[in-house]
Amino acid sequence: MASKIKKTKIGEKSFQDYRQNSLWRLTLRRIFHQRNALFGMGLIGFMILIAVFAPVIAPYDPLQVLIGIEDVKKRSGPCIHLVDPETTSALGQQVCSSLKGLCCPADQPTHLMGIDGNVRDQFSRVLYGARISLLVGVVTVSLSLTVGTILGSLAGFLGGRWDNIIMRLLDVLMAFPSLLLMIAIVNVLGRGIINALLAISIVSIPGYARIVRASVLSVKTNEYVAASKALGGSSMHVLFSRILPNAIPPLIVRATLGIGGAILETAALSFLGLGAQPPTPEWGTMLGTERAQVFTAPHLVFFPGFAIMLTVLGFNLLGDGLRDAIDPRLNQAGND
Amino acid sequence: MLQYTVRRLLLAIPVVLGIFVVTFALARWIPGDPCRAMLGEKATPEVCARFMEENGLNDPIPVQLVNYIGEILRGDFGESIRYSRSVTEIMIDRLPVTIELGAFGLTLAIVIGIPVGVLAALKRNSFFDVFLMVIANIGVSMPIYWLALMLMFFFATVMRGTPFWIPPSGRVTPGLSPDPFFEVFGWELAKGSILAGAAKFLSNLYLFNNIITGNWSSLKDYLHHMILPAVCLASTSLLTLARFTRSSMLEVINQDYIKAARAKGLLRRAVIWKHAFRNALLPVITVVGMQLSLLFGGAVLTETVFGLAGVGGMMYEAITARDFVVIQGFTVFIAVSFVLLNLIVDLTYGLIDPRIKVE
Repeated sequence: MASKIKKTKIGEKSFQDYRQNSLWRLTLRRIFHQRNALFGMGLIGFMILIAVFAPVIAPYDPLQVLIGIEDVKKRSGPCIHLVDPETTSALGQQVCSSLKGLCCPADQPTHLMGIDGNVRDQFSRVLYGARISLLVGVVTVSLSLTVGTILGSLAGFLGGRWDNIIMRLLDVLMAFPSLLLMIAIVNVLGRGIINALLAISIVSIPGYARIVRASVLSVKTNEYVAASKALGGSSMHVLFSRILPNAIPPLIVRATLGIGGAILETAALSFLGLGAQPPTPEWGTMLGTERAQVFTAPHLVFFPGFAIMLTVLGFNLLGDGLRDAIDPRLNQAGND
Repeated sequence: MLQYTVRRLLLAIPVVLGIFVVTFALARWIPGDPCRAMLGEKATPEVCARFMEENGLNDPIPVQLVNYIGEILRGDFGESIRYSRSVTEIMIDRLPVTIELGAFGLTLAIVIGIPVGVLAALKRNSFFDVFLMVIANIGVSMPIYWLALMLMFFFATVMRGTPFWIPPSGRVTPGLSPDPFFEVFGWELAKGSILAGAAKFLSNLYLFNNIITGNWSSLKDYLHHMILPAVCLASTSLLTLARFTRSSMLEVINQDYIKAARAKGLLRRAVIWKHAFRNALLPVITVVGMQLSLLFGGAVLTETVFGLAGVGGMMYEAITARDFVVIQGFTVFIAVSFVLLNLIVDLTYGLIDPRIKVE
């Protein structure tokens, strides 16, 4: 009896060891040692905070036209009361002459990013833009991830004719340059953010399906899958509990990078006038409507684009970090 | 090699057919009445009835599909009502602009991206390496049209009056369009013939046209205009290639055969370029192939920003004007071209890496 208890204890200990070194724990631990990934997480966190607290932070309603409310001209530059415009110090005067926005007259209202072409506060619009971009990124990836996973697992699991049909169909989708297919789809569905979102989702499906199919194919022949089948597990059980969990790590990496990509693509479609329609405060739309004014009002183009870049950079850095953390072999080869 | 080529060609056929079906389906899915979508809301029922009959839109769907594929195979991509020209004619005008822009972009990306990646791998963790990786991360996260607008502002407004001023838009300075080579050489070409179409297409390749006619002032002006669009278009691909070359190089450098080559007493230079670089290049070529599709997307956006009358610029105009025929025609043409381009990339890959053919 005593020896039996001892054995169990040893067993428990090694089981705990195993749990402590599970893939997810190891991945998390590695992620926290990567500066890039941490920076990416920080950027994403920052953007989420902005999106959540936009109504609190934004000084104005993003759709409010300020004509008759404030004495501001359309497309006027940023006005930040950082330096007293009457300053006598040499440094202050130098700042005022080179960056007029930092010391605009005291009677002017503060507008951190200036006024847009329809006399609205650009800063508030950029803040609200974070809501749309993050939402679009997550929704698009969730949609294409779900459909891609279903198609990929069916193709890999069923094999044979089904595999051929599904994969050849996806090959056709992949044969189109992605932006071209998105334009063609939105052209049919009609412009608007929802249709743009659908188009981007459809175009991204093959990428996810391929990853899932590859994982399913590589795992399908393993002995534990055969064991699960021999124990009487249904096809669905074997697929969902034994095979698919193996596809999760590469999918997470792909999805994280995919959110960044989806944000860029939505902004590009909106920039072309196919995505979000004015007056929606979407970054791509803001850039697109004011792009002709870049020579006279560069601030209207600079800030939305910079916001897109920061958000996408966050997801890209985190995605790269996750990839290295999940597959450390790559890191040894220098993919840092 | 022949067998491999034939097999790849045969595999491309179903994909091309699939593209025809997808574009056909997209054209038929346009919500509402196809007649009003094409002719506009003001079309009367009589005009519509004639339009439907003339375009075979009353035929059963499979018949329509076969007719559609037949038309495309004959090079008929439809007629733009807005421009009252055939899509093929528009393409002859617009395609050369995009081909040249894409070629400039890809050349820049390869010529700069690959050596920079090798250098970063050799000087791993140096300031240059870290700097390059930071720039690469930022660069691939940047919307290309934003970069284009910012560069435009910087070089056309901030740099005005300095030698660094670069024209912000257009393909050439207005009035400096080069004369087509067939006019310079006094060739008489029958209007509407295939030869005339081909000559017009070639003369729209300004680089080719200017060199062949020796029009150096126009060439200089043209290249000056193309600096910003080419740099913008190249940016993402360049940085992706640099990043990929770097990691591919690092992977190879750590291999035993490289150590063996060094231990044998071979020069470092010889080991790097003859042993490491050649092997590191194989996966890089695949990435170059993958960049083609991205380059096209980039071209649509770059041309829109720089006001270039290429395929991308045309797509933008067609989107704004809701010219469905042009969008459909261009979509099918471009998608099929990409299948062919990818086929060429695959075949090149087979030439470079003998293992591929066997697989």
